[in-house]
Amino acid sequence: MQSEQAVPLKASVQAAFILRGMGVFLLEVVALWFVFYWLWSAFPYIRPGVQVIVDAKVEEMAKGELFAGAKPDQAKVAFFGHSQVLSGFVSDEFDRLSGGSTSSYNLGLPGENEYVGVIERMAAAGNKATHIFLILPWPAPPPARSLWYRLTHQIKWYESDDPIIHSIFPFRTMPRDLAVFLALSRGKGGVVAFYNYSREAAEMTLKDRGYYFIEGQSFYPNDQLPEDWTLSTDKPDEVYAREIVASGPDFDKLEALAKKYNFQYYLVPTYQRRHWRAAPPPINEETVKQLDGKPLFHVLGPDYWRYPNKDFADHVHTNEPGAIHYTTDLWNLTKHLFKK
Amino acid sequence: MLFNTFQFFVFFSIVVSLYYALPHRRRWILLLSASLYFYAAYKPINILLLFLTLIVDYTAGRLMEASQTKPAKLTVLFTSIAINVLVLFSFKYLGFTMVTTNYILDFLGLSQYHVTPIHLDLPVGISFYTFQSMSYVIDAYRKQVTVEKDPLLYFTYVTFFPQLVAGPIERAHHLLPQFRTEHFLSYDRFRYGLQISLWGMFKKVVIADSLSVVVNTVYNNPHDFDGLSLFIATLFFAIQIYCDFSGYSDIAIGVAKMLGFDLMTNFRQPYLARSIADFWQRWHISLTTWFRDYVYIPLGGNRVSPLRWATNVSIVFLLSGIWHGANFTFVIWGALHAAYFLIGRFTEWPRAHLITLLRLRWVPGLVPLIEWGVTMLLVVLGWIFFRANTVTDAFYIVGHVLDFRGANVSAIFDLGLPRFEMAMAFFWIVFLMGVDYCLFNQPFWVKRLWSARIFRHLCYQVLFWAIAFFGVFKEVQFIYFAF
Repeated sequence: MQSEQAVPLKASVQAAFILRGMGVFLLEVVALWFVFYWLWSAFPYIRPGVQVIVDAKVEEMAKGELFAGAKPDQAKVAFFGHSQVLSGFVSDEFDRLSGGSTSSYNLGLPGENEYVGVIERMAAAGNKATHIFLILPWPAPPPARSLWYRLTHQIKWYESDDPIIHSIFPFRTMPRDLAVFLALSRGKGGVVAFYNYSREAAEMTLKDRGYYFIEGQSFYPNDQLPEDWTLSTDKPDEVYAREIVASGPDFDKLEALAKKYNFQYYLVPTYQRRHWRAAPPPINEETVKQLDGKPLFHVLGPDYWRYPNKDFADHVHTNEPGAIHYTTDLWNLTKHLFKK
Repeated sequence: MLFNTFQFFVFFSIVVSLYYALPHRRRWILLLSASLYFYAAYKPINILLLFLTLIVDYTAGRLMEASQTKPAKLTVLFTSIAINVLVLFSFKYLGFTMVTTNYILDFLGLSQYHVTPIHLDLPVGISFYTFQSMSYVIDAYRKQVTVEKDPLLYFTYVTFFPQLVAGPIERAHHLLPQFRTEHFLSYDRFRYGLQISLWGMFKKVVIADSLSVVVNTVYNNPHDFDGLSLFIATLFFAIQIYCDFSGYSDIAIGVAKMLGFDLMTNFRQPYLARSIADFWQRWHISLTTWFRDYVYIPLGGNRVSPLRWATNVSIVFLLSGIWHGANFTFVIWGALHAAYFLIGRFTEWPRAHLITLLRLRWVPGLVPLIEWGVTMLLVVLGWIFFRANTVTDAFYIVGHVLDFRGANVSAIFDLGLPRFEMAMAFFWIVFLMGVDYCLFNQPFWVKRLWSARIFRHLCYQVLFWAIAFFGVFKEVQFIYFAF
């Protein structure tokens, strides 16, 4: 074996230099991390409106006070889903229709299709829901991985780097958020006024027990889509079917949570524009078949209701009258669950 | 395993720690095991093909050493090359050849003889390690490298993980002896390795992967976009491919450096080139020199008649195009560069005469600027064929890329990147070109700044936080993995 030129310094000394250099670099990184984290925490309302709403609701949920004001004999309804729930389910209206037999909370989180973890956090924080309404299917079980599958697919220690980087640097969208905030604030009366506006929107959402009208995406007069408005991706002759698989880790987790915290799940219809798809059957038989023998899961109504464009503020979300329409339909569908 | 993942970060941290903890004579075991795991992580079954190449070329080297006569050595050489080319052909070009055959049969009115194309999954890095392994056998034949007797050391050389899947394509005489040399932990090498890896990572996850969104949106449906959008997507692709591939090379070089190895430089600020010949001395240098040494020079190089020389150059560029992928778009890309290169050489005298005649040198910097501008225009035009999905798409883009009539500037925000990200993309391009300019020209003030520790730390932090804030971590594969 040959040796490289004369060894300049002992390996231990070199190692000490390297460790010191990396240590200094990491210290700088940590110091800056705290500065960025502080800025991010100190000015929460520069984040996009959607994120402000999500953060406010998650924070409220973490306090364990979603049903703090509810009476013991009231059913506690938590409604999970994405932005369609956020803008479609008016908790106060639902409770009014129930004549006080329910205390409901809208836990629709915009941009979030994953709710199993949110239900777990809600229950763990002491929010004692009795009825969980769902509009989205839970993730289907991953395919069985045979030896051949393993030999012909990438070896991955985990699914994706994206959530990891977001958890290490929760403030990583800050430059973007700030730029967008500054750009938008010009049309909203300036930086301070826009900041206050965002804060008030979050406070209003909490006051309305999670309901929020997505004003930012409404571009038509009176917040109503024109009646002839359609999208090229609409397929009014096709029926969309929600696909449920009653197995897999997520399903098992949901079932375990229901047993542990004593609540039940109700798959309820979502809502769509009339032009979007054809009318679904009154109930999805395949879903009913899947959930047969699963007493903690119930299917109520069709996969979706179709509403006229006047009930929509944009192509996906209801306006305020649309939300009342949906909430009323939901009450009529579920009222047998609650005693007056 | 992609360099731009936490998985690789953890993997490399373990490897580098164990590497320096082990005695020198045991280190190759670690490197070989780590390299095989690194490769298997892409798709474990592909390792069988890698083994086939390793065994064939190692055996070829040993047989060549044992052969007494030139014909025997030649037989071994050609057998080895034939097996390597056959494997490469089967996985990379078989489907393409069959489809092309069907086109020809259609043209001849013999559609009834159509063959059903077979498309095999391309093993990652096959073109790189096959070329590296082949170069060893050819060098052994030429006695430019000592035949390696230890099979496992030879395997370690070919599979060395920093350069296994996307180069640089290392030569045996450069890399193989480094496995026999004991490497001591060195602060300077380690620091340089970290610096260059950080810069490579920045280019990949901050620049290349951001731009890829626009490029994919437009190039997957070019007919849906106007000239301005096509122009921006093409410009972005030019930057994307540079940052993607040179980013990979930088990380490979940096990672190897931290382990005590020197890999060859693969990029030298190619977008500052002032001629196509100059461009090819700066772009994918390890492949260019491979073709020079194993194709161009054996064909006679430039010591032949001008016509023969032009043929040699054309062969090299066409092979280079084909090497990149089984598609006529790559053939056209290679042919275009051959044409650029030849026209550039044959017009050297008239161009110089024209410059003198027009007194262009009277304006300082004008001639270099024109040369640079024309070179970039030609290179970017070539990239259209390189990136387009089909030849038809490529010609459509070429026909519309400079047509800005009725261009809607606000439409550039519908290309997949929101306004902020689009603005940042342009900022990073300017930043990149500025850094490349400084790296190439090394102005005095930059050298002086760089010598200040505080400035260096500032640069490291800027790169680190740019990666943290703007990096794309959705595991976008390196473009050259597909070659």
